Amino acid sequence: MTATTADEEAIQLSHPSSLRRLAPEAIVVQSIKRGDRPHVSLGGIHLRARKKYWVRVLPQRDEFEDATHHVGLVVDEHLRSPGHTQESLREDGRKEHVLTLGCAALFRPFPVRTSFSVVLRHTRWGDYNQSIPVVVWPSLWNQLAWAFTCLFVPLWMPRLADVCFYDGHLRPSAVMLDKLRDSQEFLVITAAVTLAGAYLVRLLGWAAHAFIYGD
Amino acid sequence: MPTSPEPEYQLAAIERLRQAENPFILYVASGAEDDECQRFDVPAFLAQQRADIESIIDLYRLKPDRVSHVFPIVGDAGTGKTHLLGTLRRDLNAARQLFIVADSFPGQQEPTDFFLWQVVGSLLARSGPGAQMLTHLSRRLTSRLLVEAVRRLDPSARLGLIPPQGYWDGLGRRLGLRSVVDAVLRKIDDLLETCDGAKLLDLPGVCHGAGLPLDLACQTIEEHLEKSEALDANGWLRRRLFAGFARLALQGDREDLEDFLTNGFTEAPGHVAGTGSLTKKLLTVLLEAFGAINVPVILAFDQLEDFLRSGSMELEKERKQNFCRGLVALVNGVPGLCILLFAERGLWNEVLGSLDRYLTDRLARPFSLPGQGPRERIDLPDRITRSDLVALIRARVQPTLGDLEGKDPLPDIFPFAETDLDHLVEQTSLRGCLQQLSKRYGERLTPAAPPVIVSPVGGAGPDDAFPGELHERWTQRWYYHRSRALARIRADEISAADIPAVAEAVQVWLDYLTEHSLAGPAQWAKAEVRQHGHELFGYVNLLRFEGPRSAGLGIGAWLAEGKHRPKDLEAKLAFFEIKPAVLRNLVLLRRDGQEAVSGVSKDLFEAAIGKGKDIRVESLSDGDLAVILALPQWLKAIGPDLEPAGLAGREVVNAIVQERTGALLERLQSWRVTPAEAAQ
Repeated sequence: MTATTADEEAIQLSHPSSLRRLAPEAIVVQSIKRGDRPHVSLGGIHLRARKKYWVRVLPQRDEFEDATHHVGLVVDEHLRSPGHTQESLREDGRKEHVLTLGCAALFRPFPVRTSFSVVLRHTRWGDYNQSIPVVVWPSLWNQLAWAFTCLFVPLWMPRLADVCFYDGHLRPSAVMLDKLRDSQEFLVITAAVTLAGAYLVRLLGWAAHAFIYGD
Repeated sequence: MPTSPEPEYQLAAIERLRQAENPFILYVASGAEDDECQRFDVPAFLAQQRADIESIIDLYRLKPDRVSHVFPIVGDAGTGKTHLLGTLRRDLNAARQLFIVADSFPGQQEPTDFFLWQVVGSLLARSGPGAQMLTHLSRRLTSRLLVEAVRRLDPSARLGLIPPQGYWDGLGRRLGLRSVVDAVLRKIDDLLETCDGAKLLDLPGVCHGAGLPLDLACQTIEEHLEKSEALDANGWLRRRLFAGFARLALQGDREDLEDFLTNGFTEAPGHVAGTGSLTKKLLTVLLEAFGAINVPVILAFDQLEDFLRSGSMELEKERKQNFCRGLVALVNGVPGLCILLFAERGLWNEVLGSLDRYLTDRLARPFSLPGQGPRERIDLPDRITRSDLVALIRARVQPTLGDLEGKDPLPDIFPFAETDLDHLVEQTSLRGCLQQLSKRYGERLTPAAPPVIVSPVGGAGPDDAFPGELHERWTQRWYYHRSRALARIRADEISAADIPAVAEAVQVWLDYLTEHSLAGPAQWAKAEVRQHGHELFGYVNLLRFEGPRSAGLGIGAWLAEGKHRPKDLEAKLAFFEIKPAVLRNLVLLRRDGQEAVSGVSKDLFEAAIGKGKDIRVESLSDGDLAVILALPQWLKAIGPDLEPAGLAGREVVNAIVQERTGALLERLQSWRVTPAEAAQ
């Protein structure tokens, strides 16, 4: 038994990484326009295309002063972040970081799964990255447009041809107007089918996310 | 001096005192659980020293990785050092610091190994402050881990923590129905808020309340540990250790943690085992765990003279050097360790004077407490004040008087007179005061009591005690320590983690027998504790009879239970493999005797017998184990009285040692003879 000298390895204590207060205490996503919180399901947070959201990040209280000196967002496809962060003081005196998250326009009629990450830069421990899965939904107008293109237009093309042409020749305008008047019932039916088609697309999107991504 | 007739209420009080035991007969508080002595504590006495020590502990609580330091608490013999330590252990909340009182110091062990086993042994105790600390540590760490594990989950993953209540609830979560989802997330938030609070929780109850199944909570923590801890040796140890704490706190499963701390950590994968001393790494991880929840670790040594004094000058010098080197190794090698050293002033000065500068600089390093100047030690007062003396008398006499009617007019110092106190305040030691008070108390309660005290100094000290009285007094102390050891054994506080401590205790006994030529016909040339192989199980007391280098008799405490029982046996059998041979025969001491030789242990045992090894398992009763464990404590307790008692005292101690350990010594003599020799 000898006294430890500088040559021997002395025990170095560190703060175990599993006990470090790295994750934020709260991440709240909130619509900028309406102020409400989006839906959350087992598949992620449900956002709307072409909408903007606040992401409010509250770092944990730490025994070390100024433990988190920067909070940022890293976004995947279909999402946008202008990159600037606002800091606001809560009623209890704690600092909250507010970031802006935008959803890009979606061309497809079905929702898409993506994610964004909240990055907390800790003074002592370095960066911590918390990934949040989200589902971006196309707007209802987008889905209506798809239903219009896929259902309404194909249904109306033969009808319009019949209204406008007879045996390869253009009908007189008075006849066309008469024929159109006779098609009012057809218009209502095709409009209803188009609307139902739009909702069917939406329903399929929900079903896909509930039973495919939900597990 | 003529005596005036005593009033009736005073006579009644004296009569009441006569019916009870002399309250001044016990001198010190020897432990946190020593209620008899704690009852007589006078808080005002040594209050400043107690406050200073608490300030030191708080410094380590605020900064757990603070530089380790030795804090000597010095005073003359009998000034209350042991009492101060005992009351400190009682008063400090057991869940706020790990307070280890070392009753030995390593001979063969590395100081860090010794310290690790002290920590593990303390934590694995089934009752007492160590058990409270384990509960506290496991709950706090598990709460922290659970909070961090859940916070690192995204909201959709949090929804999966609480199982759905039926099909529609599950469907609602899949579809993201706000009412369903918000209710679940609110429960999780409440759980996080409760677990992150400062209050110590009934963690399983809190999880049940939130609807989080305990096995899922454990699994979440384990997954968090897998993701967040590094793949190096410390990371591996943390994963296993923290998962063990989580299972203890959440499911009450203690076995996993016990296995890991006593042996499991040695069964590490190759990339971990090859990185150096695992005991040092385990100690690191344990200290980090304590530091993470701001629990300071205090290692206290009481009665330094027991560690250092010896009959021979040479041996004493060697002990001093080894002890101080060990302390310095701990200070240098282990951060965040607060070492409290309770020592006699003269001895401490003597020790410091005999060391080289390297050791002195580290042991006498000044420290500073908030609002105070730098100093090198905490000094105990060299004189007891009158007010403390009055408080001491009141504290000891009042409980005996109890609810006696008409006791109110009795003076605070009853049954003593003011003149008694005049003599006592000249005493420099508390023990001296108590001895005189004890004697005077006896005189006052006898019908023909002399009115005043006459012998100011040394009246009832051990010098004046007849050997018969000494024998009775020290035998009582023996019974006290043996019953404490027996209580620990019966409370299952003695586990595999105590194997090094049992080996050290056996060594104390063997050393005592050697030093005082009490070994009789079994006299050995050399007795030593030998450590080989396994960090915990690999301890054997080796008695070399033929010469200091000859192969001899090994005595090993086989204490491990369950799946570690064969590993413990294997570690002991490994001593036969040492070249040149150190073992001629091996005796394994086991509480359940030969019954332990079953299953895998039996295969190992028979294989060794087949190879011609001389091994036997000897039944070690609880009483025998208590004798072994009690002896060092008893020697330590009577130490201060031994020197003043002179040669007569030493003879009394020798006689008691022979009486109490004679049966063990006879068994030891029989172990020396191998079966082959016996057949001849």
